[in-house]
Amino acid sequence: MKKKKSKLGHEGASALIMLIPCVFFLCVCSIYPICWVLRWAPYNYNGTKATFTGLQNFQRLFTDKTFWEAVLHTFEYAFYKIIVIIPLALIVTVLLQQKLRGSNFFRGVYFMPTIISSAISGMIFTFIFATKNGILNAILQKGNLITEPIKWLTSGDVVMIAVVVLSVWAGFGNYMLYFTSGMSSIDTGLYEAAKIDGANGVQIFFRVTLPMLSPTLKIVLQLALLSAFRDYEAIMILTQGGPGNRSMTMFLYNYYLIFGQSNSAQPQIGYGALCSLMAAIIIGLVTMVYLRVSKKLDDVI
Amino acid sequence: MNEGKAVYSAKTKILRALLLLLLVLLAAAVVFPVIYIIFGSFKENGELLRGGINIFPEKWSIDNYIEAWKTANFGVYTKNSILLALGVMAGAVFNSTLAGFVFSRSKLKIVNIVFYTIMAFMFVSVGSVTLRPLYMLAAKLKMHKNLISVILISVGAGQATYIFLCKGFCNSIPKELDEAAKIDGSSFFRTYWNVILPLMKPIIGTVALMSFRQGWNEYMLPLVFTMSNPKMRPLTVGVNMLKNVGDGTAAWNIMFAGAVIAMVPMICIYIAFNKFFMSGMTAGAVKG
Amino acid sequence: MKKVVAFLVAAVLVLGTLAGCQKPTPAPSTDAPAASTEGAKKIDPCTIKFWTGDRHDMEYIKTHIDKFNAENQYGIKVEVEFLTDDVETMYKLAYQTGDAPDVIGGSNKTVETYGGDYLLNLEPLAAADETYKKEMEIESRKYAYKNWDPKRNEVYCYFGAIRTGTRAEYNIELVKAAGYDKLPTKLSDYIDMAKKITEAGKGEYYGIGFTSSSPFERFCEQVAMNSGITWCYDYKNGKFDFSGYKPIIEECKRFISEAIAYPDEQGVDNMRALFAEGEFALWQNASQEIGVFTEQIPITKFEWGVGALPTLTGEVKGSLDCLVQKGYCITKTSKNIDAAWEFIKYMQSLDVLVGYCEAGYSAPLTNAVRDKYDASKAGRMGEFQAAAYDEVYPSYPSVNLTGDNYRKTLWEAVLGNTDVDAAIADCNKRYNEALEADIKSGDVLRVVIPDFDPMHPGAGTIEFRDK
Repeated sequence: MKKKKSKLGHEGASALIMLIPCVFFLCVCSIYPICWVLRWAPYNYNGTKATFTGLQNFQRLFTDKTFWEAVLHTFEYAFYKIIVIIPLALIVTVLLQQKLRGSNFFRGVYFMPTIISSAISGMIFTFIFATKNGILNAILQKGNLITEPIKWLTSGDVVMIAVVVLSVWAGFGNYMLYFTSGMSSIDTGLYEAAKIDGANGVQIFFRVTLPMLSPTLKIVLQLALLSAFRDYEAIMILTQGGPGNRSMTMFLYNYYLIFGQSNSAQPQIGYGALCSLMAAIIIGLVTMVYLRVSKKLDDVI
Repeated sequence: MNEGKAVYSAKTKILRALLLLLLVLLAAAVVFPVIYIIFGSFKENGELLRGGINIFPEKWSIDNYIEAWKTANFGVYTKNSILLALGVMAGAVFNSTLAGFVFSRSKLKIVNIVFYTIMAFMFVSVGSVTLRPLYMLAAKLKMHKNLISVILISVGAGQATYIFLCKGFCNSIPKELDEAAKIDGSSFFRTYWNVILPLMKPIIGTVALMSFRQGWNEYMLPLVFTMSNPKMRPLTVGVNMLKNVGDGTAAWNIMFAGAVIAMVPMICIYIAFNKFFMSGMTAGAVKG
Repeated sequence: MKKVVAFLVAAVLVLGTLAGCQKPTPAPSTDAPAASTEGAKKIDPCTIKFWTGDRHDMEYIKTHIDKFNAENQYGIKVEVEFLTDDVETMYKLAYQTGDAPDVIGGSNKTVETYGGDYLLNLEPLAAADETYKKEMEIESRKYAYKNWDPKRNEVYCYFGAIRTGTRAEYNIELVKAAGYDKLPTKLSDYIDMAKKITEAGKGEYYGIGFTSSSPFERFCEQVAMNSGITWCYDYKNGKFDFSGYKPIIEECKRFISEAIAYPDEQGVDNMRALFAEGEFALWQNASQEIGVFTEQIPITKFEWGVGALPTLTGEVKGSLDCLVQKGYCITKTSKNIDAAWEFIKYMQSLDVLVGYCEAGYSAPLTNAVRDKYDASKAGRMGEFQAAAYDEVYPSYPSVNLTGDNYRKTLWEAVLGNTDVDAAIADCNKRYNEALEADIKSGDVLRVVIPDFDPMHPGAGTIEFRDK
């Protein structure tokens, strides 16, 4: 490195100096925590006392039902979230493209939830989903859509729906904007041509819009995947992973391991570090599989 | 697509009306939770507890706000939230314009490597666990008792996106400007400061807004950092902490008021600047 | 290619920082200073920090701290922090970072959560002070694994008051409307009554409510104690045993499966507010409820009563564990031990404690307080007076548990999310494994009371074994 520096010249030296803040942040916020995680993974560490336990944590990981259930729930959550949020965002984008009155207004409204902290939106939905005094059940009952109130947050059968509703509400504005920006780069001439050929709206969508949007779609899907696997803040506030761990996701479980859960579990930092590593690996694998599949699809099309 | 307001057939007109209706319904569903909370925060606790279908309060009262402000420390939380958001904004703008410029202009290999390392870490997700080592680190440096460490970590954790945005923007600024400045004898840093930075105003606006939002909405990070120091809590943490309290101040009415206090300033900023928010999002994610 | 290089560099950086990673800081070990037994102490003016997890008595405590600050002869200033949540985590984090307070409130979990790693042994200080020694009955108020660690033979605080075991508070109107004059004593009847009320409510109100904050502890556990069942720790054999819960969990499952309970478990305060609003008829909690229902969330809409919890058979066969309260510990990092001790002596002086109980915050514990205490001043607290079956249990050893504690695990079974037998077996396994491991490593001693009597849990002869 030193050798290089002498060749850097004045410009290179200032460039490196100007990079100091961002390299500092990189080391502190990204690299250091990962080293720390690697270091503590083979320890039994409760915050005050650490004992080296070798492979014990690994054994526990492979037999820990809760963790693997959490992994399963994460996949389930990501799947539901994506199959709702992407089509919804896409449809909304296309509709708003039709130059209806107030398109910009609608766009602004749909995007609004994304500026609200997930901590606050989680809280808002706790109120809305409350069984007896929540307004959602009140509306559904008034409209005679249900006879008994639904236990949105306390029944394992429906809690995933509640969690996904919140995440779609909070996030689809983002994806709408991604698509809008992708659409704006499509050559309008293509639409004209399709119209002259006598294609109707639906045909145009499938024959022109969708193929032309596929590069955008690919990136957006990847972003959606990543973010769905990483979501846990709002879930933590909405359900704390309950009932019966039914909405426990990987990251949420890891958080509880690392910081403990007041009234019910003490921190198990070493084991939590190992689970976090496992989670990172799982997300890495998912990303890789996704990239491979999307490439294959490209070849086919 | 560019037929303008041309003549529509009757069928198209109906179709368009239906579409409009659909969009209106969706918009209603999207704003409903926010509206519900805002009006709900003026209800008396009894009414909230009974539930029901009314959105508007039977009896308007601002007692919830007064109580929240008095008993639940919301004054302090609000001040902390503002400091946090402004701090993150300043840090992010400073760091990302600087780095974005260097990444865009420098041809050094090492600079490139740093850039790709930063981008690569966007895809490494160990999640919440990172907060523990960072907290311990801050504690060792005796920096865990003020918001500075929270601000720095927030800036660091979000830097990749902003740097990416600024680099993209710098790439679109003609290199000839640099060349000209260089010929005039301007140093690398001077070029950044005098020539490029003024041209970066639009992207600075975007980064500023996005990072302000990030700071204002930050939750897990301040949650961990303020566990042993309640006076440092921002609104997001303070409001949610109410859930665990057991001394009569954690009933729904106070939490409603708290949620509104935490949410409304951000919404106002959004209404004022929503174009920038949206352009920032799109520029960051897909183009660039 | 660029990316490959980038990753390589990242890897190198990672390794580099790895080398820099450090071991955790060992807990700073200050030796317990010998109690100063010299007659006239000299204490320099100083400021001490005091943290407490109690908030319900905030005003009373604040008043007396102000009084102490104004009146003490040494110029000691006390700064108090009323922490709203999870004091233990906050304290531990603060301790690791060197910001721990001087004095921290002691509770029944003092040894379990802090213990000798964090706290100063107060016995020498207390024994040297005749008044304190007598009034606080320090000889007989050593509760194993509550304030006293038998392994180190250290006492970290002395308690000033107790909270009674759980009682059932009920909405008299709703209970009457369902055809009952008083609460049934048998658990199954109790549930039947709750069911009748829920049915009468037709979705408007419910028979009973549970909070999301440790519901198992507030109901099932207390019912088990009152029924004389081994509710957590088998004192006779010195191991954990949760098998006794089976009949109780089976009964309590009806609350959920028959949709008797208020359909949401919300935070404690909101559940209280819902009770005060008449949304459900039965609510279980201990004596700190008084202040809440008379001051913070006053019940104005109906008459409410206080009754005993039901038991499995209808007969009381065991005592309820009372929470010991108002203890004060000095932390090992404190630099102002003498000043802190002055403060503690003031807060636990007879007048302050009697006033505390008469204000309705707690029930008296020591004889000195009981003699001076005038129950008529305590308002509705009278209904929560310690009953014959309210007693302080000897604590069992706290263990280094992996996973959720029994309260959460077993409540999941009540909710029907897990199988009852599996949940009980899981708890038995994890708790006993942890116990054996901790005994083996020397962290704790096994507590055995061969002549344990659930009606008089404190009366047995307690043995501590290191095997």
